Amino acid sequence: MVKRKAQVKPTFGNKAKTPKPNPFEQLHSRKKFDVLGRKSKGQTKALRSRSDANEKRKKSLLVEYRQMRSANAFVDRRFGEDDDTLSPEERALQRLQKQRTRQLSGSKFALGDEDADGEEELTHLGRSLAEADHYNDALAEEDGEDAEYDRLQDSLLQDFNFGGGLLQRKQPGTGAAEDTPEDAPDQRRSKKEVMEEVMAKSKAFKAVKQQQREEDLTATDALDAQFQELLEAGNAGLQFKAPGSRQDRPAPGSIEPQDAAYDRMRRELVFEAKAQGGERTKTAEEIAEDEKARLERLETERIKRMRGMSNGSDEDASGGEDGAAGGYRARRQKRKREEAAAVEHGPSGDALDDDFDVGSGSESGEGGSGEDIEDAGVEVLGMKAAKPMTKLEARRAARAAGDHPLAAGLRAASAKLLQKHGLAPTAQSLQDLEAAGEDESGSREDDDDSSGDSEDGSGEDLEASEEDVSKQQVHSASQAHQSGHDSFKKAGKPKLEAKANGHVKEKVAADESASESAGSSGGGRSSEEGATGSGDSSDEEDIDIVEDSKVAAAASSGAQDEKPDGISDGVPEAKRVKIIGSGDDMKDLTFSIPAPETHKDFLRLVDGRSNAALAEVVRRIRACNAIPLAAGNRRKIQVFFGILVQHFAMLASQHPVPTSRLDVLTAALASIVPEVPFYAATVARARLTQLHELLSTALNKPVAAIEGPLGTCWPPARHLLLLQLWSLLFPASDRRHQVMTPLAVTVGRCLSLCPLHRPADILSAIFLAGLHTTMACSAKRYAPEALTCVTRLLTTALPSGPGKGHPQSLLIPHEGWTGLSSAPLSLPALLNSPAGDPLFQESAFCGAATRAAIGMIEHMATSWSHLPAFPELFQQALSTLQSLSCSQGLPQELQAAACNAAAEVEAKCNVCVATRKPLIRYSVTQQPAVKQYTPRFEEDFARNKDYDPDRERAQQKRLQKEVNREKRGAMRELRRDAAFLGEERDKERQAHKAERKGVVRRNNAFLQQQEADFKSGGQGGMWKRKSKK
Amino acid sequence: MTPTVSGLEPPEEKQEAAEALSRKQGVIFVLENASLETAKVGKDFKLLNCDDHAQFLKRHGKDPADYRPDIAHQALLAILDSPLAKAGKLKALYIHTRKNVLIEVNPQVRIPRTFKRFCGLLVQLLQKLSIRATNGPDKLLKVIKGPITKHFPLNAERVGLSHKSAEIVTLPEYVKSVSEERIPIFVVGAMAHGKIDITYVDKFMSISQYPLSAAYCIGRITNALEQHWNII
Repeated sequence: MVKRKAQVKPTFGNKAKTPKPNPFEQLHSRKKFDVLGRKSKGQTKALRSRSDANEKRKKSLLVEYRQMRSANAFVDRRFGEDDDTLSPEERALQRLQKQRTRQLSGSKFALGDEDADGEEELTHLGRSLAEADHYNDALAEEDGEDAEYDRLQDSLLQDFNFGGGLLQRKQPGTGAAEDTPEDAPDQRRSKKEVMEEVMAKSKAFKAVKQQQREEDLTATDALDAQFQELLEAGNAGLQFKAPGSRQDRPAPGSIEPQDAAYDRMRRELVFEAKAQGGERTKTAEEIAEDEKARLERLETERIKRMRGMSNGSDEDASGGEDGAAGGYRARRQKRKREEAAAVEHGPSGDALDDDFDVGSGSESGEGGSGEDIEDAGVEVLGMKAAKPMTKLEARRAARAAGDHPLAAGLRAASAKLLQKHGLAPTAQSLQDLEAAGEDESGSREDDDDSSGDSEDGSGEDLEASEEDVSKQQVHSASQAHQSGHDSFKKAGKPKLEAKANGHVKEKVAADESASESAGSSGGGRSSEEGATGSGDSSDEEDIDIVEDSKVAAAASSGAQDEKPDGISDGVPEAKRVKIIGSGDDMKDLTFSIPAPETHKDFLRLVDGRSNAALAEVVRRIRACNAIPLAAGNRRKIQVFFGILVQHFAMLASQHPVPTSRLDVLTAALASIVPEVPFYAATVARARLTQLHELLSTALNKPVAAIEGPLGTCWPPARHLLLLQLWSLLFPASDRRHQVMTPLAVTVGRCLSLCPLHRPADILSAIFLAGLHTTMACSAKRYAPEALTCVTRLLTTALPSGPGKGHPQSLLIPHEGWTGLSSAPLSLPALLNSPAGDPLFQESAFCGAATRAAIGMIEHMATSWSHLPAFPELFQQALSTLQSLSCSQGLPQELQAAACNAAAEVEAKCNVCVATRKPLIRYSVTQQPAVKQYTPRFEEDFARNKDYDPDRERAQQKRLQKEVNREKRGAMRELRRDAAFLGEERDKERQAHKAERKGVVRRNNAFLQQQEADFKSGGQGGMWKRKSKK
Repeated sequence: MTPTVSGLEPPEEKQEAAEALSRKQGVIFVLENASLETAKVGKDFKLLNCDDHAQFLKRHGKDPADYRPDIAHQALLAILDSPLAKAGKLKALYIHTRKNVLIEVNPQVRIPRTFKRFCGLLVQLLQKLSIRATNGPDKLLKVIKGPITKHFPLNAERVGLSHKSAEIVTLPEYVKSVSEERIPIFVVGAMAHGKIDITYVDKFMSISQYPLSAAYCIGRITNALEQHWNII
C-alpha cells in the first residue's frame, strides 16, 4: 500500500518519508521478562504482513484470476515498469540510457542518420556547434573595440593567472629597443671594470672584518669588568682551586674521617695478597707415616742422648760442611735453628690464622725429617715475625681488632638504630657481651698456649680439635656435675656435640663420659650430691667426670699428670684439664714401641705407670704400627685390641674398680674400633657368648646349688663392665647389630630371669637396668625388662605389712627405715665387693638402692612418655611409688622422692590419656552419601540450537522441523488464497448482482415510465384529465 | 543402623523409631534476593556479574555492585557440600531472585565448582526454565511458580536471618529448641547489601554480632545442625 502510494505520488529529490504507522496494523508483544540488552522490537508485522500479503495477491492471484477466462492479455513490457525498486527518475534515466545505447550501437537494419558520415552532430545549448563557430565569427566582426578587450584580458591574466606562467608574453605597448644591462649580463666588460669591482669587494670585506673585531673587543672588556666586580665581591674565591691542586682529590679537612678511612682502606686493598691455595690435605697414610717418622726421630735422639752424644754436635755435624763460613752464614744458621725449634713447638700447621701467610703451608711438614725444617717458607715466617710492624700492618691489626673508624661508625649507627627502635642494649647486657667476648678470646689464647706448651704434640693435626673436644667434655661434665638430675638426659646429647667435631674418636669419648656419668648417677644419683661435695661416693663421681675429660685431653697431648684419686678441690674442671705436667714416668718411655704380642708384654710396658702414661703408650704403639704403614700391621693392631680388652677385663675385676684407668682404656679401645671393626665385633661376640653360657649354666642349676663359685646368677662385675664397654664401642641405635642385639638380649635375660637373692644382686640389677635403659633410649626403643626389674626391686622396699609386703623383702633392714641416710649408691666402690660384705647389710645401701630405683623410674618415665601405652606400662610402677610415698617408717627424703616421682609419672599418665583419641564407630563414618547428579547444560547455550550429540539425527530433526514449518506455511497460504479468491468472487458476484439489479430497475423504470406515458397520453404520467377531474 | 545378623528378624523397635525420626529430620534453605539475571551482552546471553559486565551495566544505568551472582554460587556450594546435605537431611532448596524468579534446586544436584560454569548453567536454566541431569531423568533445577510458601511443608518453622534483627541467638541452642517434629526453614539473603524484604517468615533472628557472608552463615547453620544430628 505504501509503495503504491509512493508510486501514485512520486516525490523527487528525497526519499519517501516513512509513513505513519497504521495503529491497526501494530501489535505489541507482551514482554514477560525485561531482559537487559535485548532489543525490544516493539511491534510485530503480523497484521501488516497480512495486508501486505493481500496486496501481493491482488497483484498476482487476482490478475491471474481475472485473466482466467480471457483469451489474451496486455503485457506491459516497458523497461522497469514492473520493477518496484526503481524510482520514477531512475526509471526514466535508464530508459534514456537504453535508448542511447541502442542508437549508438546501431541496428543492422538501421538507416544512416541525417549526417552522411555517421558522425553525431555536436551541439551547444541546443544549437549545433557548427552554427556556433559561425556565430563567433560574426560576434568578432561586429565587436569593434579589439584593443580594449585585449587589455582587459591581459590584466585579468596578470591578476588571476600568475602573469600567464612560463610563456613570455609580449607587452603590446613596449618596444624591443628598451633593453637594460641586466637584461643582457653576457655583455663583455673591460678589464679595468672587473678589477675595480674586485677591489671594491675586498675593501668591503675588510671593513666588515674590522667592525667585527671591534665589537668583540668591547664585549671582552665588558666581561672582564664584570668578573673584576665579582672578584671584588669576594664570593668567587671559593670557586677556584689553588694552582697545582688536583681535580680528583678533595681539599683536606673537607671530608669526614670515616670517608678518609674508607679511601685509605680502598687504596690499601691493592696491596692485599690474594688468598693462596694451601697445600693439599694429607691422606690418612701420610699422616700416619709422618707421625711414625717423628716418633722414630725422637727415639733416635733419645738413644743418642742416652749414649751421651749431645744434640748440638749433631747439628754441628749437619752444618759442618759450611762451618768455615764467617759471621753472616753462622748467624743465619743459628737463626734457622731457632726458627726450627720455634716451628716445632709452635702452632700446628692447620691453624687457620695463618691463611694469609704465604709460607705457612709448609709448616705441616715440620713433623717429618730434619730437612723439612729448613724450608724457605719457614724462613719467611720467621723473618716476618722478627720485623717490626709497618704502619700498614699496624692498621691491619687495628682493623682486625675492630678499631677501624668504619667499624666504629657502623657500631655508632647500629646503636642509634637500636635506640630508635627501643632495642638499646642495657648496660648489663653490654657488659655480659663484653665478658663473653673476653672469655672467648681468653679461651682461644688458652688453646694456643696449651698447644704451644705441649712438648711433642705440636705437630699433630688433630690436636686443636681434640683440645676443643676436651673442653666441651669438661663443659658437659661440669653440667652433669651441677645438675645430676639431668644426667640421664645428657646421655643422648653428647652425640650431637661430638658430631660437630666430626671425629669418631671424640664422639665415642664424649659418649662415654656422658653415659658413664649417667650410669653412675642412675646407680646412686650421686651427681646430685656431688655439688655439695660431701661424702666419699660423691667425690668418687666427681673424679670420675674429671677423669673423663682428662682422658680426652690425654689422648691429644701426651704429658698429663694424673690427679690422685679422692681429691676434689673447688677448682673448675676447665682449669684442671690444663694441668699438663710432664710426669716422671713419661720420661723413660721409649718413643717407638713395637706392638706387644701377649698380655704379659703389655703388662710389662704399662704396669705401674700412670693413666696418662698408659694412654701415651697406647698412642705410640698405634702410631708405630699404624695400619696404613705396613701389611702386617693390621694383625698387630688386632692382637693389640684383644690385649687391651683383656687388660680391661683384668682391671675390671679388681676391687675397688680403677675407673679412671678403665676410662683411659675405653678411650683407647674406642679409637681402635673404627680401624678393626670386624675384629672388635668378633672379640665382643666371643665375650658375649662366654657370658651367655655362664648365665645359662647358672640359670639351669637348681636354686639351692646356686651358691657355687659365683654365688649368684647375676654376672660378675667384670662382665658388667665389659657389657658397658661394648655398649660404648658399638652403636646402640642400630636396629640389628651383630654385637648390640645379642648384648641387649643377654641384658634383658639377666634382668628378667635372674633372681634377686642377695643385696649384691640389687647392685647388678640396677647397673644392668641403667645400661639397658640407656641403650633402649638412644635407639628410641622400649625395654620392658628394665622397667619390670626396677619396679620389682621397688616393690621389695615396701614395708612388709600383713599381705602387703614382698616375699623377698630383701631391702628391709632389721633396724627399720627411719635411720637411713639417703646417700647415693657408689658403684665403683661396691662392684667387686664380696657378697658377704657388711656394707650391703647397712641401711645406707638399702636407702641408696631405693633412691636409685626411684630415679631410674623417673628417667624411664621421661624417656618413654611418648609411648601410647604409657599409663598401662607404668601402672605397676606408679602404684608401687604411691604406696612407697605413703608408707610409714621411711626416711623423709626417700618418701619425698617417691612422692615426686609418683606425681611425675601420674602427670605423664594423665597427659597420655588426654591425648588419646576417642574411638569412633566405624559404621557412623561410613554412612552412604546421597547420590549426586550432574546437571546437563551447555557452556555456550544458544536458544534454538540443537545440542544433540548425534549430528545426523540433529540434522534430520532440523530438516523435519523445516518441512513442517513449510507445510504449515503452504497450507496457510492456500487457505488465505482461497479466502481471498472467495472474497473477490463474492465481490464480483455482488457487483454483478448490483449491476443486474440496476439494469432491471432501470428497465422497470423505463417500462413504468412508458406505461405511465402511455396512460397519460404522452404527458409523462401527468394525465390532465385526471388532474382536471 | 547395624544390620541384623540373619536378616530374618526385624530390626529393634528403638532402632526403627530412630530411623523413622531421622527420616523425618530435615532442613529447608531459601536463598532470598539472589542477583541472578541474564542479559543479552553482545550476541549471546550472559549471567550479569559486576566484574565482567561493569561497562555494560553502567551503560544501562545499573549499579554494578548489585550484580553478585557469586554470592549465590558460594552459598549453594556451602549448602550442597555440607555433610548435612550428603546425609540427606536437606529436604529442599529454593532460590528467589531479585527479578522474582523462583528456582527449585534438587538437593542432589552437584553444582558446578567453577563460577564460569555456574553462570553457564544459570543462563541455560533461565532460558529453558529447567535443567535435567546427565545421569538421570530428574529435573535438577526448575523454575517454579510462586509464591514460595506454596512449596513449604505445613509443619515448618520459618526463620529469616538478618543482622538487623533484635534477637541474637546462638545457633546450637536454637537448633535444640526446634522440636523434632518441625522442619526448620532458613531464609538467607544472597545479596551484597540490604536486608531481605519478605513477609512469609515467622521471625527474623541474628546469629552473630557481626554481619556474616551468606556462605559463612550457611556454614554455621549446617554445622549446628550436623552437631545436633550427630553427623560427623
